[in-house]
Amino acid sequence: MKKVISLMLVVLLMSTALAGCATKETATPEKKKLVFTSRLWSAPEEKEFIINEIIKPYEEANNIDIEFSIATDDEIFDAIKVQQESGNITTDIITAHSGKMPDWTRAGYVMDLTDVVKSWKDRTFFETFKSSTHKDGKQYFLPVGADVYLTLINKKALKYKPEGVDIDHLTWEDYAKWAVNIAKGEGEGKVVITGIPQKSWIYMFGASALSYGAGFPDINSPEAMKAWKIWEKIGDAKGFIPTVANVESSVDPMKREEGWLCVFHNARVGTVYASNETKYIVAPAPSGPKGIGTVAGVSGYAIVKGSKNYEEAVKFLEYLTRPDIQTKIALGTGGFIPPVKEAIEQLGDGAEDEVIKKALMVLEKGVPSGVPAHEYKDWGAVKQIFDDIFVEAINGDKKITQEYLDAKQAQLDALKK
Amino acid sequence: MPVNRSVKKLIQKTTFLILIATILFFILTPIFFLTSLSFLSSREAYQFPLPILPSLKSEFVAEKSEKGYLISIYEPSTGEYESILDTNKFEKMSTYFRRELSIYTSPEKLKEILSQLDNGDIEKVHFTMRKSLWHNYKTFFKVTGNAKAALIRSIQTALVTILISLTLGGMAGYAFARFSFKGKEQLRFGILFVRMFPAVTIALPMVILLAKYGFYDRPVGLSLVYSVGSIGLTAWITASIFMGIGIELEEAAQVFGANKLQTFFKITLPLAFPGLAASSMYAFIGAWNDTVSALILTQSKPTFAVVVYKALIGSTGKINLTAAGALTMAFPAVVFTLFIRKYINQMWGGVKV
Repeated sequence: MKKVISLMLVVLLMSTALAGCATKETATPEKKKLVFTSRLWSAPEEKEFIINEIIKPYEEANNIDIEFSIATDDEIFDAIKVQQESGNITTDIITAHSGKMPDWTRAGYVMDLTDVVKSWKDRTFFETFKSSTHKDGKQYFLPVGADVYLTLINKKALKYKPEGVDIDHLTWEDYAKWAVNIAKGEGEGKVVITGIPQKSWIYMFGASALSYGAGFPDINSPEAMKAWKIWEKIGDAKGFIPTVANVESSVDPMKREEGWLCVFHNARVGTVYASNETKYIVAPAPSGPKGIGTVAGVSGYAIVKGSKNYEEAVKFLEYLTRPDIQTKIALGTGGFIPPVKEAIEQLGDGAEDEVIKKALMVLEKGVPSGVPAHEYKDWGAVKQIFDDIFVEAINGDKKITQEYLDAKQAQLDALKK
Repeated sequence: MPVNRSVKKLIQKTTFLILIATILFFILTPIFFLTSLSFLSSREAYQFPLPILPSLKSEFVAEKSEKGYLISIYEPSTGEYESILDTNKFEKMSTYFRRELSIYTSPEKLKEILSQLDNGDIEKVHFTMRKSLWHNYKTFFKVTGNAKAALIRSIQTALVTILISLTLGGMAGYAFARFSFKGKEQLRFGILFVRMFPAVTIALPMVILLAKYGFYDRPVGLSLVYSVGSIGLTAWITASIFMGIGIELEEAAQVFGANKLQTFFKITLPLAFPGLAASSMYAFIGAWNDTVSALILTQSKPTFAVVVYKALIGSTGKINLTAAGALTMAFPAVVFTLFIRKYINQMWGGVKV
């Protein structure tokens, strides 16, 4: 028995060693192939939808294999960097976030698509994101899946709503009052923010600061101070959920109904809303004297420089950016805004359409700001400063004073490139 | 006196059993929790308190509403029905049932059930549907790109790592155990130094090196990187095993006419099998579970760990799917460990093979 097992192991090891050293994997030579890596649609149900409802029909109609995978912005950039430096280009199409687009264009890893876009007469991309998708008058990225901030309210919170407040025209003062009422009434806070460092708190605060006319990121301006005071009011009333320090994503506590109020990313709002639309209300993000502030972003498709399948990649991008496909993608992936004028016109009156329409309203009428990560040495360190203020002052014992904010602003300025 | 002694024995035995039960409880509870979680529907996974076991079916009640049909689900923890959906789109209902409740039902089937409400004869319709227990696993494999190929690549990587580690590490171990040479002690400690550097720290320079020799983005390239750490550990484990095997046995074999090679393969190696099995387990688990290095060292041909990681990047709000992915990832390693368990047992004076 022992001999048999030993022999089997040796054979297995030898065969796998040889297989491991093999250079070629079997592939059907006549079938074309495209490699598409995206930072968008990372949620499993979104990915499943894209594969089955968007990619598969295209593959069947065009006799092509599309190898689709998800990775983070940094992972995609690093992978393409290796490909560019080694000259072995294996990825054809990427999807990057607007905050990362300047890095791509600066590095010269993506192709100029200006003439390609000009030849498509049936679609008009939003001008809002032109500064990200274009460089020196040339278009490198085709926008998809714009994101803004929305308010998600669990209906259990309605009994604490301040008198005369219109949910669709909520102000930050109303939001704070509402949070305080809930904390008093329930004996526990119900406002959700991402308390784990270097997540989304900077954007949540950014939305409120922009509403008061502050910049982004901005810590110590008089306008930012007003926004800090709103959050301080919630903190003083113990208005945040008790587990706030452990929240990595607002989705989980909102789904668990541990939290009842949250202002966060529209697609993640869509995720929670889709889990039980009879339980939640979606509204635009709260407004301030300057309007509805929001940190807005967009993703964009691009063709990797040196792609061996340029013609096929263009053909596939033509398909992906068609207005009807953009609408289909937006509705199937829980609330991203399709940044194509003709796609918006195709929206209906369903729950997902409602999320998109409210997000669109925020984008069009709000005070949006992009993410100027490329202006700083380390965006993670920038996030950390805002996280520290939350831990020390908003949810801690320190008071929000001008001196305190000035010191934090100095830390922020030191991170500027 | 004898009574006292038996009482004392009973107390000792009871205390020991309680201790064992406590340890087992702390080891098995998280595994049980993770397994149970992997079979929960998305809705169940976000309930408080969390169900101990997944349900096999769900009961519903539907009634007409302004938007179309208001569907409610029976909530066993409260004993009440809770509304979940208010729509007239059967396609949407079907998708919701699948994604949130792990129930596979067609829009036509739902239409057939709910059409009973259309003529106004009845106000409410009750219906029960079976849940698909394997939904999370199915979803996991649906969203993992080319999981099967990645699984094969991972097995190749792990086995080649074992092959390299056992060959080089085993030979080094034998040399340390049987031969005296200058600098032996320093070298013995020296080979462990490489373990101080996590694979990820050498991964980036390795990309350039592997690309130069044509091993980049291939299982064999990954195996070479993983072997760097495994060889030292294998040498240490096997050296101690070889030291424990009496040199007299080898001498006896040689007296009966066996040459050095025959002695090694027929006497020493079979006796050292438990040590080799333990080393191979370390090498396998190390290679199997690594994600960080594999992310850097692969591009179009990822390992299973990378595929799992990428599938779960966006699993925010899907802890049940994450649990399914984690168990899928752990399963081959568990099987491998169970397979070589009896050999490792011998190291602790267990059963003879």
